[in-house]
Amino acid sequence: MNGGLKIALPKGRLGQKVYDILSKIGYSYDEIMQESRKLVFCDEKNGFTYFLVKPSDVATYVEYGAADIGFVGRDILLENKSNVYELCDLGIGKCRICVAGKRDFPYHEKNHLKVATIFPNISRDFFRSSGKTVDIITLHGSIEIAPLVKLSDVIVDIVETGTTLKENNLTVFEEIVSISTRYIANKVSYTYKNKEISRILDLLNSLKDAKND
Amino acid sequence: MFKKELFTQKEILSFELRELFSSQGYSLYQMKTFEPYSYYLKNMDFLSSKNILYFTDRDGTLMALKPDITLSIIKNLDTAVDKHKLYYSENVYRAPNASGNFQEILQFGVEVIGRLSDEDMFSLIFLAAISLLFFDDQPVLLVSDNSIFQKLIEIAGLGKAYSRVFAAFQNKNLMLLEEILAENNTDQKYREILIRLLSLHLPLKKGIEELENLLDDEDFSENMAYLKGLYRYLEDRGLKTEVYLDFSAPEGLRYYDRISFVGIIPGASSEVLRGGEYSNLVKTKDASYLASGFAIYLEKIEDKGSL
Repeated sequence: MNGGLKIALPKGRLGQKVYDILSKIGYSYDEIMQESRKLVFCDEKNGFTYFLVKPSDVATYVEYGAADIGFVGRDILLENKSNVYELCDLGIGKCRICVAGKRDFPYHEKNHLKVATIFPNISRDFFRSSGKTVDIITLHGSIEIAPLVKLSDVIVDIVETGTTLKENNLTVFEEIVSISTRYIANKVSYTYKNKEISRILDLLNSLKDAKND
Repeated sequence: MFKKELFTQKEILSFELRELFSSQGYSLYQMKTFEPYSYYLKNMDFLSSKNILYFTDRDGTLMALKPDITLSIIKNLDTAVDKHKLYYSENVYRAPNASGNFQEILQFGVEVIGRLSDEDMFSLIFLAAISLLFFDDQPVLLVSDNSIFQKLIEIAGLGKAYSRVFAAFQNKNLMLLEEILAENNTDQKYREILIRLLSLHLPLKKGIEELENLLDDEDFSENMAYLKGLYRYLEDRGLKTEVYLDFSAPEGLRYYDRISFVGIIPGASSEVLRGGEYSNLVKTKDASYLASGFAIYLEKIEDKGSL
């Protein structure tokens, strides 16, 4: 296998948080967070190659072996049913996936729902287990508008603080799952690069333990 | 004399493996193009894909177009024979998948079925391990014992959470396992065993030692003796393939009822070989029968070259 560890890092706000954690466990490489259009970075000192990718694509890079490890939200892993090892919870990017809708919508009385979401698979699995039948409408952003313009009865979306929902006169009916950022590894790399992958896992766990003490 | 350069890497590998299998006493199985759909419908739990292509015959019988080789072999077994050693290289067909395309998939594999001894079972795992050496000189075979896993789940009272525990093991997802153990108020003893088992990834010998420390009660003595027998068998034959004990390996836990394994090579994104013991399936044919087999994914060769 090619030497060194290939790491898929999410771009944007989550990427900054992940990078801060990597720095704390001794793997800082400042060039990554500098403003540039560069997407691949080689940290020769540690033998790491970083790829900056869209947060929702991190698990795909890892699953298909283009990256050995990555950092990704649990929502993406659940939605894509990614075939990767989910090794550790970083404790960042904490939020919930919830069913929400207009305050006056009789959610609990309805057996059939029109659901707008960016998570069609999570939604389908959830409503199947709850016994409600649903029409899933897949959207790619600004989900909160859907019930307001009668595109859907409810939405399934990420809720962090609930402010956006409140400002749009929406409320949470039910929580589906809580999510946070996970340290993941490709299943083949886990064997061939076990020493490096396990070392990062140990350092991440130690950091978490220190925080909890 | 054939010129090697006229063949693709995949074709050459296929010839070499067929030569290996036949040198070990395996003979070629050829499947009929159409077989009754009702047989596959009855055994749906044992199929990796439910997307069977079927047609109505002139007499109204639904006929399936080559859905799976292993099930076909079992259907056509002559139970008067004590031991069947078969290999196959056939295309199977699937109805449209999520992306809407019909699929033609090459299935290449080996089965040993019959009144088998432990040695017969071990020899198939040995064959899987040496087959991997045709792909790469640093292959690894990840071995799991599903009967241990299933027994533990039962004893720990986690039967209802079986699918979730299985999902946690498959992805080495400790967070999910801890969540399930807490929800079910699992006894501390089994909590510790399951947590350790989930992250276990050790060379076979060390793995067995670790397992022996974890599972010290009599319930597992037969399992431990079997695993030790496997280790001795592979060791005595000077196997060059590394073998690891890892309980995340199997995907079809309900299908494989004792040892299961996957083969990996550096540079491929996922396994190139998968197999295991599936005696429960053949017992429906003959109660005294046992079975084990593996499939090789030749298409992963191209995958490897691209990395």
